[in-house]
This record gives sequence, structure tokens and C-alpha cells, in this order.
Amino acid sequence: MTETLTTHWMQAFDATRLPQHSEPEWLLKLRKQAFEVYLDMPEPPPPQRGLRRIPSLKVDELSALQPMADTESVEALLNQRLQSWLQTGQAFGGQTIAHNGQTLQTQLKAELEAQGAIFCSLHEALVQHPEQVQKYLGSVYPAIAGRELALNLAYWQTGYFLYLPRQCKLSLPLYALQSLSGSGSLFQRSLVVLEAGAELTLVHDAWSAGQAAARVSDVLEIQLGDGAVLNQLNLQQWEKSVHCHSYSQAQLGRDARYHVLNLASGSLYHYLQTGTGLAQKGAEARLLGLFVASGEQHFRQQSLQNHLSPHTVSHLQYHGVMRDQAYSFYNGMIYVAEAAQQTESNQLSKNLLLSEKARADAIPNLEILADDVQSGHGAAIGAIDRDQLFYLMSRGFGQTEAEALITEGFMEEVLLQFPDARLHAPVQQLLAIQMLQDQLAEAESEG
Amino acid sequence: MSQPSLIIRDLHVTVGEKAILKGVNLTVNPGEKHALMGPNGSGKSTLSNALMGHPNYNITHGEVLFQGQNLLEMAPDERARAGMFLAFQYPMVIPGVKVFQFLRNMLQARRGADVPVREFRKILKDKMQLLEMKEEFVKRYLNEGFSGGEKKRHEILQMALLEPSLAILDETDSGLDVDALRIVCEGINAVSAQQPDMGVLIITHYQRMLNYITPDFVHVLFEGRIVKSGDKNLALQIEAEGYDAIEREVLASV
Ligand SMILES: Nc1ncnc2c1ncn2[C@@H]1O[C@H](COP(=O)(O)OP(=O)(O)O)[C@@H](O)[C@H]1O
Ligand SMILES: [Mg+2]
Repeated sequence: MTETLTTHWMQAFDATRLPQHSEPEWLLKLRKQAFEVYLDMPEPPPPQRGLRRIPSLKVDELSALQPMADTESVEALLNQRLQSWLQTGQAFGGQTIAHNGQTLQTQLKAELEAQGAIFCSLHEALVQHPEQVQKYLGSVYPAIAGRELALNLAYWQTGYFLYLPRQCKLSLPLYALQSLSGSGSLFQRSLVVLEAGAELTLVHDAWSAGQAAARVSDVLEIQLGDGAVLNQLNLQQWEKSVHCHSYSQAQLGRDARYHVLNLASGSLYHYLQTGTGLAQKGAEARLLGLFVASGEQHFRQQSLQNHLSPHTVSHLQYHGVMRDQAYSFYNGMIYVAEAAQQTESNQLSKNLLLSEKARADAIPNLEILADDVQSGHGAAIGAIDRDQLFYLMSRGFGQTEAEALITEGFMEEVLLQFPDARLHAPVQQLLAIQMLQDQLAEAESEG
Repeated sequence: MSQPSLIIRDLHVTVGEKAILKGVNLTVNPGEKHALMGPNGSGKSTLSNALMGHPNYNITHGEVLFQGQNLLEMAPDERARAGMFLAFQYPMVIPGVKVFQFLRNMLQARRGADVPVREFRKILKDKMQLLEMKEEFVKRYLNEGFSGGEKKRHEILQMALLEPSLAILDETDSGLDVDALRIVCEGINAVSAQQPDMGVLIITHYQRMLNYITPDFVHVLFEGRIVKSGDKNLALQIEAEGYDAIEREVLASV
């Protein structure tokens, strides 16, 4: 069994990817081991009755993405996406752009490069900075972290490497776009390493240039040194036929700050795992989420706030807006180890259901072994509040307009907690466009 | 004379299964100030919510005409755009909605036309001065973290911007300290001075608001009916004798 699958994997993988990159021996070994781990891990048990489940990525259902038919038109589309950011006045300090697993553009302002910053494709980093990659690849998410994570470690084809040396503070955000079109499977894995005192805002963007019906596995490993600060905007706007599994986890050094805003509106199925390891004193994380789903979309969010050291802080707030038959399931864990005294942690999941058939569930969990801590969790799921709606209508807002205003406010509440205010306006614009599209689609389907 | 601002005829309202208003009659002519007083739970807020069209309040019987139009056929936003205004006893918090944008969109909805930002800033500044409000106020979120006084001032600010032809003020005095009460009442007087045709229905539990705003008529609501009407002296009588005296008087007459 193992033999045939391994052979299958090796053949498919070698045929499509390896000719382009000759990989070092250690990496091939790491990949093989990860694949063995994948095979050894049991399949997840079937879903409990009545619970819908996001289909897992299965190795025998994977196929290679077609290479780009027309590079120029794809590049033009991707540039449009980039321009949409620049139009809002948002300049980037550098960008990497990849499509169907192929890196098309990497750019980093010369003065940043001079400071020792690195921002390039993971494959390029393997050639230019092999020790760094070897040190960090799989350091946050080793193969044993999970079945699909192991599969990703074995199969990754694309991704970027971002490294900031000590005290390197980037004033301009960096932008990483991963795009795809057509059908097939895309495995991306990226590494973000900030040494002590480094600071950065990163936009991690997933967007499809054209029709896409692919399986995507997107893994992001983040290491923050002591006092490092990372603001990360994590966008998922794939075509609504993609199955996407995203994992991102940050390990925080002493007094490090990690702020992530997950914004997902794409994919038919989207599994999103966000984790934060608070193993050093004084580390703080803020996990934010905005989830906008319509039609048959099915989202699942899993989170881990892992408090292992004293005086660590984590806040999680996820808001979902569900239309049509969309479904969202949130399952989060706050873990506070015995040693993690005087920590503060909370978790809030809210969903606004904009149609009768939209649904959401939330299961927040606390596991607290320390006795001197502040911790809380909450969940709220419901339709638009009738009294809020009445208040706005009594001021002359039509029902649709009033609902839109409440919904925008609901999202704004989360967005404004993202510390880099330069990204607020472009995100508002993305959200406004998304809401409009969903409203129009809804109106159309209602005839 | 122009037609009445508001005519309420034999209005019956239920909430769920419970009958709350049991035949209210009231006419407000343009420019008139009516005070509606009554003990807690007598149905004052029910009347204001029903008049503004809250979906939880069922009109089981009766008729309401607003400037001659059948009000009960109109959605709340249509009522607002037609010139009705309700200052809420408990204004709603709407997270993430900025006061400035809210007020501007509100005015645009009322006027049915774009109000350029510059023009709006000017209008807003004037009205905020009227209510002694600080400019920073509009950067906040709708009623989020507002003190009782700020909420009520903000309600009256909305009235000042919308220039309604009929304003219902539901316990605008509650939660206000003496200074805030004076400022808010003076603001209301200033708006009605600018708009002499605005009818006003002042709903209040106490007469203290009526020290600033002189009503032309005072009505007492008791168990869902207006049981007594008079002039401003009726409010003073309630202040002196309490609602009990009126209750006894009413019960004795049945
Ligand atoms: N939304 C509601 N749901 C249930 N009962 C209500 C509601 N609104 C009002 N009531 C009931 O109607 C009665 C009158 O309430 P209200 O109109 O608020 O009185 P007032 O404003 O005069 O104090 C009270 O008994 C109150 O409990
Ligand atoms: Mg009341």
C-alpha cells in the first residue's frame, strides 16, 4: 500500500515539479518523511450525525495544475489586483507574485535589501539561503502536527521566504500574492522569520485570476524573535469553486506582538486554522477574522491560543456574515498551561445570518491549568437585530440600506482592531465590493 | 388652517398577546406642543413605537393620519422621510457605524439628495453648537459608550438636522442632569423656533422638562388610555399630587 502510493506520489510530483528545481538531499528526505507521516496518520473519523464536514485533501484526488496557457494575460490580471491596492494609496516595499505555483515576480526595494531583508520565492531561498530555509522549514508545523500539514510538507510546490534581520523595521508593507486558475492542486508553503526587534506589515493574498476549481493547501510558518512585531493581513478570495485549506501559526518570542486579520470570502470550502504559540514572557497576539460567505459556501475556522508562559496576552475576535445557504463553523481553543500565570486571553465568535437558511455554529473551548488568569469566551449567532434595524429605519434608511449599514458596522468593529490603519481603507473597499457582489447575486437568484 | 399634523383615532395596540393601548385619541396641529404624561408602564413608549412603525407593535384597531396620509400603511423609513421623528427613550447602539457618516446619510435620505461633505459639515457645526456638543463627538460610533446625556443630545441633534414636521420625544429628559436638561430643552426650543410649524409630542414622566418647554396641552395616559387632558396646569397638579390622585379621580368617575 505504502509502496504504491509513494510511487504514485513520487511519479506525479517528480514529473511536474522536480525538473524545474533541483532540490537538496535534506529536503527530499524531509519530503519523503513527511509523506510517510501522512500515510501513517489515521484518517479523521466520519463526521458526527448532522454535522457537515469540509472534505479533507486526499492524495489520490490530487492532480497537477496546468501550467499557464497565456502568461501575459495572467500577468496583466495579477497586476490589476496589485493595482487595486496601489489605487487606494497603499505603496508596498516589495512583492512576490506567483501563479499556479510559478513565481512570476519578486521585488524588494533596494534599501530594504541593503538592510539584509529577504523576500523571494521559497525555491529561490533554497538556492540563496539554504541554511536559513533548512532551519525554519517545518519548525512551526512539523509533519506530525497534522495529516494535511504533513501532506503539505511533502508536496509543497510554491511559496515565499520572508526574512528580516534584527531591528529591521519596514515602514512599507510587503505584499505576497498567490494566484491560480484552472483545475488541479496547489500546495504552497511560506516562511516568515522576523529576528528580534524587527517590525513588519504583511499582506498575504490569495486570489484567483480567472476560473478556478482547484484544491489548495496553504501553510504559513511564522517565527517572531524577541520584541518583533508582525501585522499580517491574511486574505482568501479564491473563486467560489476552490477547496482551500489554510494553516498559519506564529511562534512568538519574548514581548513579541502578532496581529493577524484573516479575511475570507472566497472558496466553496474553506478550512482555516490559525494558531499562536505564546511560549515566552510578555508575548501578545491578536487574532481577528472576517468571514463573508454566500451561496453554498462552507467555512470552518479553528484557532489555538496557546499560553505557555506568564504575562502573555491573546485576544481573538471573529465575525462572520452568512448569506443564502452559507454555513460557518468555529471551533477554538484557549490553552493556559500551569506555568502561564497572570495571562489574559479571550475569544469571541459572532455570526450575522442574513438569510433564513444561513447557519453558523461555534464551539469555544477553554482549558486553563493556571489559577491566576483572566480568560473569557463568548459566541453570538443571529439575524440582524430588529431594534437596531428599526432605529435606522426610523431615521429614513431603507431596509436594505439599514441592513447594509449594520453589516458594515459589524465588520468594521473587527477591522478597526487591526493596528496598521493604512490597510483599513483598502480592506473596506474589498469588503464593500464583496458585499455588493453577494447582494446582487442574491437578488438575481431570487429573480 | 392647514390640516392637523397628526390625528390618532381609537388606537389599540398589542405586544404579543398583551393589549397595551386601549383606545387612544389625540390630535396635534402644526406648531402645537403636547405633553403626554403617565406612570411607568402606562404605554407611552408603546404609543411612540407604534407611531413610528416598530414591527413588534401590532395595531389591532384604529386609525392614524399624518398630514392627512394613512400612517399605518407606511414603513418606518417612509414615515421618517415624510417628516416624522422619534427621539428614542433608549437609543440603540450600532457598533462600527460612525456618527458622522450616519448623520450625513440620514440627512441625504430625508432630503432624497446628495449633501456634499462641505455643506454637511457646515450644517452639522451649526446644529451641534445649538446643543453645545463638541466636534469630536461625530468621530465616535453610534451610541457606543455614550453617557445617558450624550445619547439624548445626539437624538435631539438628529431632530435638529432632519427638521421634522412632527417630533415625538420619548422621555428625552430621563438620564439628564440639570445642566444637560437645560441645554437639551433649549435646543428643542431653538429648533421649534426655527420651525414654527413643527408639532411636538413630549412624552415624560415628570414635569421638570415642561419648566423649559411650555406645552399647549397636557394629557395623562393611564393603562393605555388618555384619561385626562388640560393645559400646563395639569402637569403642575401631577407634580404636586402625584399620579395617584389622578388615578383615584379616574377610578371614581367610572
Ligand atoms: N416589546 C415589548 N415586549 C413586551 N412587553 C412590552 C414591550 N413593550 C412594552 N411592553 C409592556 O407594555 C407596557 C407598557 O410599556 P411602555 O409602553 O414601555 O410604558 P411606558 O413607556 O409608559 O413606561 C408595559 O407593561 C410593558 O411591560
Ligand atoms: Mg417609556
